[in-house]
Amino acid sequence: MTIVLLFFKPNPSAPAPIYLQLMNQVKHAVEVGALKSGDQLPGIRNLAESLVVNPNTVAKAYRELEHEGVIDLRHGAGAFVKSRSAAGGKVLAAMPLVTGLVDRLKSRGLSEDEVRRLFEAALIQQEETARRR
Amino acid sequence: MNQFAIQTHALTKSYGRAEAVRSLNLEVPDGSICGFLGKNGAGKSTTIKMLLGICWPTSGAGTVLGASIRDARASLEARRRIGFVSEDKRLYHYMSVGQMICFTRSFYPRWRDALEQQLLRQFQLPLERKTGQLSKGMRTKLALLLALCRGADLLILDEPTEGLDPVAVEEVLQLLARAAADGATIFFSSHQIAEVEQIADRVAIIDDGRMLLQESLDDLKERYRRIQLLFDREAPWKPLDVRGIAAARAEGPAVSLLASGNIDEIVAAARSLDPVSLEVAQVNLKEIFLECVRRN
Amino acid sequence: MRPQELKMLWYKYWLETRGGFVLAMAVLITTAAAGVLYFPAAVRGGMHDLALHHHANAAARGFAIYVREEVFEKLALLWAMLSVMLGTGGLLKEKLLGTAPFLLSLPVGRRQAIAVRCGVSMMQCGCLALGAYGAVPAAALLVGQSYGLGLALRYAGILLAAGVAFVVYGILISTAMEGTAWPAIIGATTVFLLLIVPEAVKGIVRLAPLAVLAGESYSHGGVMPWAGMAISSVAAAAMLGLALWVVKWQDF
Repeated sequence: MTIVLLFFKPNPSAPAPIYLQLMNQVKHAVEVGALKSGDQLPGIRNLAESLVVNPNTVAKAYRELEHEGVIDLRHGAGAFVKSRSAAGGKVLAAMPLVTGLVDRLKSRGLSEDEVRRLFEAALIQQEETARRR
Repeated sequence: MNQFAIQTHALTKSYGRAEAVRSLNLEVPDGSICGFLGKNGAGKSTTIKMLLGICWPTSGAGTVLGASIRDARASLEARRRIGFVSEDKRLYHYMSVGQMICFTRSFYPRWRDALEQQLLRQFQLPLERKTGQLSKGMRTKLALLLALCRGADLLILDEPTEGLDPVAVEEVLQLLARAAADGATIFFSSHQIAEVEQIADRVAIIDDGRMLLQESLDDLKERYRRIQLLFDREAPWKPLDVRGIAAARAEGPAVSLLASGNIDEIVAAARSLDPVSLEVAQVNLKEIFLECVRRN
Repeated sequence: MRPQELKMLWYKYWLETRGGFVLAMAVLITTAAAGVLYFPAAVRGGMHDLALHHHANAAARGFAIYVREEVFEKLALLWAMLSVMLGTGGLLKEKLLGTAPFLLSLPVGRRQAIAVRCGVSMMQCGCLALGAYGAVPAAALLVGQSYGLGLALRYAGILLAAGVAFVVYGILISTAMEGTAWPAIIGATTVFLLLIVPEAVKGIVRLAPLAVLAGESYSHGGVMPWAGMAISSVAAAAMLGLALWVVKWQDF
C-alpha cells in the first residue's frame, strides 16, 4: 500500500528546490517512524499528479533518497523504504536538545520566526564554511 | 532520438528595423517541462511561432523534434507530433465545440478519446455551443483539450493558463504533470512565475528578444543567493570586483547583493568590508526573474 | 495529406463561407427571377416607345433575346463580383481573426490550405452560376414563357469557364492584402470597373470581358468563346500560382 497523504504539497515559491522539500518529507516520515522498512512509496506518476509537480522532480527526489540510502528503487516495482536508518534514531535522540534550546531562546523573547532564521543562518554559514574548505 | 526536443541557434526575427527576437539559443531537453518567462512583448510568442513554422526566422536556425524549422515539409511532419495552444486561443467562431473537436482530431491518428471524454466532463464544455460564444476561460480550456488530446510528443503552449481561475489552473498543471509522466516534453510560456516554479524543471527567461538565462530550476535555486550586509554606519559601499554578483544595491546602513554563484568568494570579499551582520539566504524564482529583467 | 484531413479542411472552409454563399445565391436568384418577371412590363413599355427603351428594345425581339441581353448580362456581372468576394478570406484574414496560428499548427501546409480554399470557392461559384441561370427557365414559366434548361446551363458553363479567373482573383487579393472587408470591397470594385468600362467604350464591345462572360459569341452564331475561356484559365492558373508562392513566405 502506498500512502500519498504522507506528502503535503511542496511550496514551489519557497527558495528550497521542490525535490529537496520532497526528500525532507520522506526523511521526516522515516525519522518519526511513520514510514517503516519495506513500506512502499507512491509511484512517481501518481505522486506527481496528486501533488501537481513535475514527475522529473519526484524522480529526482527518489534518486537522491536512494543515493542517501533512505529508499530502494526496485526497477518496475517501485520505491521502498530501505530500513529504519541509524540516522533516524540519532535525530530522534537529538530532539530534546533542540527543544531545550528553542525554549531558552523563546524565553529570551525571540519569536518563532527569529529562531527559525537563526537556525537557518547558522546552517547556511556552516555550509558556506564547509564549501570553502 | 534527438537530445533536445527544441534547439535553436542564433534565432533572430526582425520586423523592419525592430528586432523581436535576437540571436536566441534555446534548448529544451527531451522529457523536460520548460517554463518560458518574459514580460509582455519580450519575444515569447514570436519565438513560439517560429518554432511551429507560423513565422519565418530572419536569420539563425532551429530544430523541433529533429526537424529544421526552415524546412516547410519537415516542419509539417513534425507538427503531427506537436500539441499547440496559441497566445489568443481563438478558434473558429462558426464551429461548435463538438465540430471543433471533430475537425482537429481528424489530423491526429493518435487522438486520445478517453482523455477527450474526461476533459469534456472535467472542463464542463458544452458540445453544442459555438466557440464564438464561449467565455475566455472556456476557450482556453477547449484550446487545451485540442492540444492535449493529440497524443503529442511535444506540447508548445503559449500562456496555457491565461484567464483561468485558480482551481482550473491547478487542474491544467495536473494535466501537464500527467502528460509529462506519459513522456511528453512541454514548453510553455507564462506570466505566472509561481506556476512555472511549481511544474517546470527548467526555465528560460527572455527579455527584449534576448535569452537572459536558461537552466534547470533546481540548479538555479541552488546557485543563487541573496547576501545582506548590515553596517553600524553608512554602508561603505564600493562595487566589489568579484565574479558572480548579479545585482547590488546599497541604502543607508544596508547592502543587498544577489549572487549567481561563487558565493564563497563574494562572502569573503563582503566580510572584508567589516559588516556587523552578514546573512546569506536562498532566493526563489521570482526574485531571480525580477533581478534579471531589471538588470537587462 | 490523408483523405480524411482533406475532407475536414473542405468542411472547415465550407462552414466558414456558407453564409456568404447562401447570401450570394439569394441575390443571384432574386436578380434572375426579377429580370424574367419584368419581361411582360418591358414588352408593354416597348409598345409605347420602342426606340428609347433599351429593355423594350430587347423585349420586342422576343423572350430569348431579352433573357440573353438583359438577364444573363446582369447575372454575369453580379456573379463575377460575388465570386471575387466569396474568394477573399484566406490566411491573412485568419491572421486578423487570430485563428491562423491554430490552423498552421496542424499538419496542414499553407499551400494546401490555400488550394483547398480555392477549390471550395470554385465549387461554390459553379453552384452560383448554375443556380442563377437555372432560375431563369423556372421564372419563365411564371410569365407564360419558356426557356430551355439545357440552354441556360450551357450559358452557365460558359460563364464559369470564362469567369474562373475572377474566382481565383479573390483568392489572390486576400492572400496579398490584409483585412476582413477591404479585400472583398476592392476586389468587387475592380471587377465592376473591368467589366463596365469596356462596355461603355464603343468599338471594343465585342472584346469586352462581360460580353465573353455572357456568352455573346455563342448567342450570335453558336461559337463558344474559346479564346476568352482559355485566357481566363491561364490567368486563373497564374494567379493561383502567384498566391501559392506569396503565401509560402508570409508570417502569420
